[in-house]
Amino acid sequence: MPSRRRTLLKVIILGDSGVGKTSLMNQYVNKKFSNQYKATIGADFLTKEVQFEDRLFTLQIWDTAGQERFQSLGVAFYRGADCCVLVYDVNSMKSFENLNNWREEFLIQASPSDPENFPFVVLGNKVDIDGGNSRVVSEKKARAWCASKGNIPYFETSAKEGTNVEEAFQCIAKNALKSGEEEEIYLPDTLDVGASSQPRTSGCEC
Amino acid sequence: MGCASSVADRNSGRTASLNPDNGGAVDPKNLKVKLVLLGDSGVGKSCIVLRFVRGQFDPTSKVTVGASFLSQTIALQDSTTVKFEIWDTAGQERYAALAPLYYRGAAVAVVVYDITSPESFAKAQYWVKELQKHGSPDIVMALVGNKADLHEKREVTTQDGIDCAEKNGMFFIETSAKTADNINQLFEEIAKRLPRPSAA
Amino acid sequence: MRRPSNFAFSTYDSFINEVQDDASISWRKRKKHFFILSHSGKPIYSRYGDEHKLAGFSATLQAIISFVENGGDRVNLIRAGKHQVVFLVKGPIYLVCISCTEEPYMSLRGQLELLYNQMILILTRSVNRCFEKNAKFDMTPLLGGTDVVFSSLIHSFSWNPATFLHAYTCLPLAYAIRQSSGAILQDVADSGVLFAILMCKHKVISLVGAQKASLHPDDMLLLSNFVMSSESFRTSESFSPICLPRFNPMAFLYAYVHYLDGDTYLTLLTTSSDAFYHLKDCRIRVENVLLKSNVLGEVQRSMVDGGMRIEDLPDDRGSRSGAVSSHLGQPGHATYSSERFDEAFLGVGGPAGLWHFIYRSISLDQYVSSEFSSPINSRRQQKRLYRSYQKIYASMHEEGIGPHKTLFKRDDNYVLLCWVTPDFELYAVFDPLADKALAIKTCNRVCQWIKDVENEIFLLGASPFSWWTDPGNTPLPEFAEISL
Repeated sequence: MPSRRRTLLKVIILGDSGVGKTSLMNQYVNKKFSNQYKATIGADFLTKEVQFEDRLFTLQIWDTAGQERFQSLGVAFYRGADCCVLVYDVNSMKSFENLNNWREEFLIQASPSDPENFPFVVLGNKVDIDGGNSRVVSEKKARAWCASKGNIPYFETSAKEGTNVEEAFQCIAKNALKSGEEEEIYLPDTLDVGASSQPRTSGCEC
Repeated sequence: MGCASSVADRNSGRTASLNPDNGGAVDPKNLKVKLVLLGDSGVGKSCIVLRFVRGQFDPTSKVTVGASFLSQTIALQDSTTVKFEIWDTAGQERYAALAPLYYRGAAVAVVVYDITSPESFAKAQYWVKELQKHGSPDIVMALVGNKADLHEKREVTTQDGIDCAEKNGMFFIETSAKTADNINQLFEEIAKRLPRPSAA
Repeated sequence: MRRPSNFAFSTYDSFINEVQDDASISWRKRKKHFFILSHSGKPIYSRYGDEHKLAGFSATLQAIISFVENGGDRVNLIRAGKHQVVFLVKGPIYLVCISCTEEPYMSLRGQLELLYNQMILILTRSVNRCFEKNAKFDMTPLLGGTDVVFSSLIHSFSWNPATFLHAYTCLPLAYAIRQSSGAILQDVADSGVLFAILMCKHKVISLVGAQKASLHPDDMLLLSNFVMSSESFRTSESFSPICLPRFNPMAFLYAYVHYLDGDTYLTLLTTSSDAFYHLKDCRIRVENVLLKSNVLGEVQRSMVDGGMRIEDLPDDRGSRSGAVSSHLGQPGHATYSSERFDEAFLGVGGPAGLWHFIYRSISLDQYVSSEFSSPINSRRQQKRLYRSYQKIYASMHEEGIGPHKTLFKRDDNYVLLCWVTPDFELYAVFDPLADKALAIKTCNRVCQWIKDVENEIFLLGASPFSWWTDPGNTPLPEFAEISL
């Protein structure tokens, strides 16, 4: 069979502790929700296959711990991300205000080649709580912030009820894919005729 | 970075590499031509060659490494013979950058796709462009839709193949290495289209 | 349902259990598993299972490596119960082995090195540039169709001593036969071929390098594995870019490969991309000479006859013309008599309870091992023996211990006798009840025997005898005894 390439996309989820990152991921991957809060230690990883425009993709989702003591996951952790998802809780102003820190932290650590156009997606979670009465961050405010950061796509979600979760991740996959379009071309070197052929090197590390 | 040498190689049009030595004298009755097969991996390039050269078909897929070399001579009705020196290249991506090594100086390029795979058709178009840019200017090109026996799984229409070939001044044929359909015709047709050295 | 693969695990079980739902396949039941992943946690190769289904696991592995790296350290090995997780970081490429085979860390790490170099043989280290430019780079498409190369290499970790000895082995051949094949290869090498290698399966018939160029045994192992596992080489002659990682990991050479018969193949390596027709001519010349001097016939015969058999170990110095004579080292026998070695031949073990041996010549980069003989008959016993060698080799080569070492080890299965000198290493396996003094004496006889037949079992260089230290004049030193 001709090569049917399946692309793997690395997606990093960031946001304050307790905003529902793990719940969103579980709702998306397993269609399950638990009211019990269990803090993520370090990071969790989940995968999900998605179909998009006739092609199959594997989303490799990196769910990070929001607590400060786990925050310094470092450069290596964010390396090669195809998309970054920023999550806040619409009932917590602090979690919204921290989005900026998370975004900057990511750009510093991951140092993507084109930071201006690196694909982020913002999710305002927990819109179901108290029928929306305890909400403190308005949709307008959130959208304004997203617009100011280069038109980041924005979704209001409820991990509990599954609202918009599928749509949000479809968008995440689409954006992650876009950022991966420019493929590196593999151009190996060849030894030229008469080039000095060193006798047995001991496999030095470059 | 680092790729400069390869790019330079492609454009410098060095003709020495992998070309059969004709010894200067060209016998118009006995032609010897270099033919290269290009296309996505798994479209059946090796199967086409083995059917043509050895009359065999092996359904187990054997991934070609680098490129295999085979030759076959056919006799035409006008009592000329054509010896094809065939480079069956590997379709894998890692060899794409090294393909010029094999198609440089080729008189004939056969670009193969699988009629059940639109992806392989897209790849064929990539190779056509590549050949137009870096191949010999007078290269004879054929576009081949292989696996024609799998018509119930067809995803690339014959018309698409014809259109693509016409647009690029290529000869088009659908083949089946499995049933041997059109395999000899492909090579005979190529032989007929070869520019003949003037008898003067 | 799928559970997340949590990075913070306390034991191997939790480590493994956390990821169990990551893939529907039960690779965890396997005793040994190999992964290759990129520095961003994207899977590149997995021995078992679809590497995409293991994406969560590969992310976990990257997280472990990165976490330790962040602390300015490097993770080499995680032990968890019976399991070992061995890591090897090669720039942007991470290699991991998970094993409960009780192989030494050094051996597993060596296997990861070979796995990495097999990849370099296919791609060269230029692939690192793709990661430098784009950390997201997905390498899997570049390795398309090479699964069989890796699985065959991994399989050889359980039977081919070359993978831990870092030496190659020759097909036993009469001296004159090897000489004549060497001469024509030399001829070819002088015409601008970098290396000319004639092999039968994984055994060398002859090998010649252009001036000053020398081939590392690991490169030979990886090259022969690549050629033998890629079916297309058998179909027709071919010309392919190939990198020899220990020669120059950065660039491709070109390999002309042609099978002369079912198992025998000629590989000609060159730096010149337009040398195909020249190499083709070279091959025709080589093939003609080999046919004329019946080398291929002798190769076939040697494949059937096999190599050194412990039953044939000569009694004592000078008395080897006795009844229990070897088909190797018979003066006046340019070719072997084959009637004694019919297919049903089954050994009964050698003298003094000798069961098997491996001898490695250090200056030649070559080893020779005896044929399997009773009671090492079954595949299981052979694999156990192999593992014992592997283990004892690793312990003899632990850093900080000088040469001239000896070891006498007795356990439930074997008596193991090792003798490591600057010139050679001998590993011999005896019946667990074997007498120590007799075993030592037998080892001396093995060394003497190898000297007697060295012309036939080794490929000797220009000065064939310079490397030899006569064990007859150097009796075995005192053995440290370890009984278990």
